[in-house]
Amino acid sequence: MVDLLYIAPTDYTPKVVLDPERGIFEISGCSLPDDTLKFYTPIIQWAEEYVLNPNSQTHFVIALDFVNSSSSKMIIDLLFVLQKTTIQGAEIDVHWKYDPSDDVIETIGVCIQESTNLPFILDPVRI
Amino acid sequence: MKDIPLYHLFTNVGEHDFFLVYRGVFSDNLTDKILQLNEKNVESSDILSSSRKKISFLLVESFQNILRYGGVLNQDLTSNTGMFILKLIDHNFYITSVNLIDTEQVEGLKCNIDDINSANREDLKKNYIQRLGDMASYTEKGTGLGFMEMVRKSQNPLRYTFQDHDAKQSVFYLTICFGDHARVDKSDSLINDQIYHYFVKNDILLTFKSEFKQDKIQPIWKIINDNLSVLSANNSANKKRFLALVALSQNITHHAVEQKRGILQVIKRGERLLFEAGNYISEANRTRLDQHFKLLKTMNFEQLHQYYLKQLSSTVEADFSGLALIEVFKYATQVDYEFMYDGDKIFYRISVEI
Repeated sequence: MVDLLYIAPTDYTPKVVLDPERGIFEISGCSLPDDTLKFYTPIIQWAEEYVLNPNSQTHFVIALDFVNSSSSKMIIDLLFVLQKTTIQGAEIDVHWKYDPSDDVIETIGVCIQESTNLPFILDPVRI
Repeated sequence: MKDIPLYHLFTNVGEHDFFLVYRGVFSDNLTDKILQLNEKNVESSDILSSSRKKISFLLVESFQNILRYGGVLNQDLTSNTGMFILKLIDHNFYITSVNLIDTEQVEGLKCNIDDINSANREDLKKNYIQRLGDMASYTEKGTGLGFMEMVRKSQNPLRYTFQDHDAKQSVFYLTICFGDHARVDKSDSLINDQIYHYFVKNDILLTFKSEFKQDKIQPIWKIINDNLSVLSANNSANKKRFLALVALSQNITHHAVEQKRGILQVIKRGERLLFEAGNYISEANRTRLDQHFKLLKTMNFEQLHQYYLKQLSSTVEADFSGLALIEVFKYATQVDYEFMYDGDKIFYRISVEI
């Protein structure tokens, strides 16, 4: 089983918890990193290792207040990698959590949903 | 300085290490962010920590001056009359507060400041202690203590000027000069008395010129974000504005030549905001940008959306700046741009109205 990946949040980068042992997969907070590639590359590398031996079920939660376009792109790249879990016969779904009054984050979620083949649930919830 | 476009502001104000003009909401919240901004922008310089503490103190005093004499502490930007200017030039700081005062206060202020400026250090200290003891006999405003502390901490005389505003009010400019080589004897270049009227006439809320490294501009993001929530209760529009602001800033961070120097301006346009950003770019980037703008300007909203989805899903190496530009077009009601040639330099300006 791949190790836990935890990245503490800052004002402009999200909290990342990728913990196969406890079944927690979450990116939350604010994603406006200065160097988006640098921030998300370790997460994608972690995912490439994870999909070789994934949990039977992965619920991936994304709950972001602010997301720029480069973060959207990297999240889609991440989801492309995570799709490979299905090759192992495992299941995966993505929950895009957003405040129901936040149509901007909802729209970003819709864009990502339209860009991925994974089960993708838009989940309005008071954050 | 009549109708100066962004380019002239970028170049004509000189090679300031850092330059901020602010006409938004003044609050205690803002003070913290200005202090943070100042801290981030002087971190890499050789200024001693003891000097930084004094500069922070002077920033707060300057704010207090706006509050004390301007009398405008409400959240209504439409009636905001205070302005704050901060410049860092070759390790010397110039902190200017600008506000409207009753013209009948002018002579009293002049005498007060002249007396303080002409006192030697010992007399100033004595007068300061005496006034502290006399505090009960003064009204809320105008104890003069603030001015004394400014002179004592900066170790330079205060620079001031008054300008007629209307029949009853005058514009009061007060500059604190801090630094071993601060140019206290220069009359006009530090207190540009046309800035106030230019900024008020064009309803400019903020202009910021600096090296656009992310940690240096993040306090500006916070300052603008605070103003957004005061300006409008429309959370959706405010979120789009903030994301567009970040996109413009990060574009300067990643693509500006000449030490990542850029300029950012926020202007009120009725119910909307106009964000302008400018920086020098390379010829290669100019060509790429020009082509991209021309393409995006031909698209309606649905076409932009489809084009954006296509770029998001592309397996070709990510072009983040291209994506950011599409994002800006999606959020904005209007986007304009231009390139200005200055010798072998190319200045790129983008304006986004939301």
